[in-house]
Amino acid sequence: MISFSNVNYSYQKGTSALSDISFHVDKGEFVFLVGVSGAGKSSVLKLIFRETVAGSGQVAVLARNLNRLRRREVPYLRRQIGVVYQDFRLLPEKTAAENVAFALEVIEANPKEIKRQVPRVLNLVGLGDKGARYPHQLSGGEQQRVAMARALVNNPPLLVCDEPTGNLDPDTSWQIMTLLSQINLLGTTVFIATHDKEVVDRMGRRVLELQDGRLVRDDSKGVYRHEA
Amino acid sequence: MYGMTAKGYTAMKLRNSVYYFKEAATGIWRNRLMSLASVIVVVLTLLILGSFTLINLNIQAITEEIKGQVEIVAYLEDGADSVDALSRLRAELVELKGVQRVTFVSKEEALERLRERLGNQAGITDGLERNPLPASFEIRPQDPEQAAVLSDKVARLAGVDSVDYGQQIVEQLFAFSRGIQVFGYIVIAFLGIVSLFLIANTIKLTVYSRRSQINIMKFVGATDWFIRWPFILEGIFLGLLGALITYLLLFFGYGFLYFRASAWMYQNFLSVKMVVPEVAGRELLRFLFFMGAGIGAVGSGISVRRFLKV
Repeated sequence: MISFSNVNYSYQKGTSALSDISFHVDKGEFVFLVGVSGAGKSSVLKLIFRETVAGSGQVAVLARNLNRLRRREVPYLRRQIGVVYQDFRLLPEKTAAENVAFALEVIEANPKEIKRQVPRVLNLVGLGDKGARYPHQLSGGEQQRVAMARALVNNPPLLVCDEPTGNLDPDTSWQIMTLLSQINLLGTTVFIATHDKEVVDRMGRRVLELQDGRLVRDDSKGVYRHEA
Repeated sequence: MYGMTAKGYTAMKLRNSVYYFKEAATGIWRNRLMSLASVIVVVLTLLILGSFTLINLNIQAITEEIKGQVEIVAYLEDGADSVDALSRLRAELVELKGVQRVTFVSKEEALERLRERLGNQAGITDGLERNPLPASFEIRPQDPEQAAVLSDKVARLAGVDSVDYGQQIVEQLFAFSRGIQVFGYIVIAFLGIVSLFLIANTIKLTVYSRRSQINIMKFVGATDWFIRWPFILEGIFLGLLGALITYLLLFFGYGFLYFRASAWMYQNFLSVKMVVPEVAGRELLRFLFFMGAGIGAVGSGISVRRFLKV
């Protein structure tokens, strides 16, 4: 599903962001990518999402070699990857349902299909009755659920989350994590970059840890950090 | 989920265009002040471009008219006008490459023309003992710009005394009209680029106000062209609106000028013919709509570029 082999990546000014990263995520896995700010988490996500290309080494996502993916093929890769951000990124002038529908409209989906998929996915994230509300009428947790519904509406095999609980209180964070586990049980591979120690420890799932751009740990049932 | 048949594909494209137009209209309305500013920018630049086009059009028309009047006159040696000599020379002239038409003017005809030109003072020719005017051939060249080359050849023929085609005026006119055209293209290109960037900058603001929407479209997998189209349509629409306003201003302005100038020239016995407003207007409309739409489309294309690099 995701495979990094000896990946190096540096920012434009030559400062190294990732050095010699190798890991592999299989279909159906649930993986945390942890590390302090600046450890390189965002760079890994950007590489998966093809916002940027590796300097050397190979990145493969969904059986595609991203080093060789052409620019015009990128949108079709992204249709297969759901993405959830810390700041939700909802359009304030659209309702929850419209925000979800928007993701299908702009990839030129069939309107009948949109009508069927939007309520289904809103039910899945537990917002079946709140589709007509605008983002400002929803709590932070609910807004993140809308963002998740939008990420899932096209049935992507892979869901990538960038600090999904970064703006949420612990209880709400836990609810979002529970929801992510349920989605994972339905077959979606889930890849979460976070520095939320509490949820990582409590979930006890596979953990990849980055430190100064290097992969220092890969535990199949990990916690946020082993105390030395 | 995706229409695979040809029919489904077309239906989808149609649905897309509805979406593009709706988005473009929303964009214009939501940023109506900026849209207004863009239209004003287009009008100002097109006014200059359009005026220049009108001037150019008139200079071209005048040049064409004068070109059509270019004629080489070959004056014949006195006494070389026997029937034999004339028919031989005529045959030689017709044989020359680039000659369109050859007309013979006899000594008598030449004198008659002079009398006509003198009008009520024609009497002064009555005192002449013999006709001093030479017979001549008037040669119309196929290509007026080749008059110099052709007249050299004519001058070398036996029986031809001298050749005249008003060379200085003709040469100068050709150089002038070519110069004006080149200058015109340079000005049009320069102003076109300037207005392109003005438009790009104004549309950039409407793009900027929708950057989060563009960002979302990018990460859910919309293609660049899907994102670009509404902005391009918006640019084209603003450009065309600017072109229409410019057209109305220039058309009525030119019409007014045309009648004023024609009346003035008539009073002053000048026979320069300006291009009539109907014809000028047609040329102008085509030019302005092409420029307006082009500037709008390319300008907005430039402004979206930066936001698509995600």
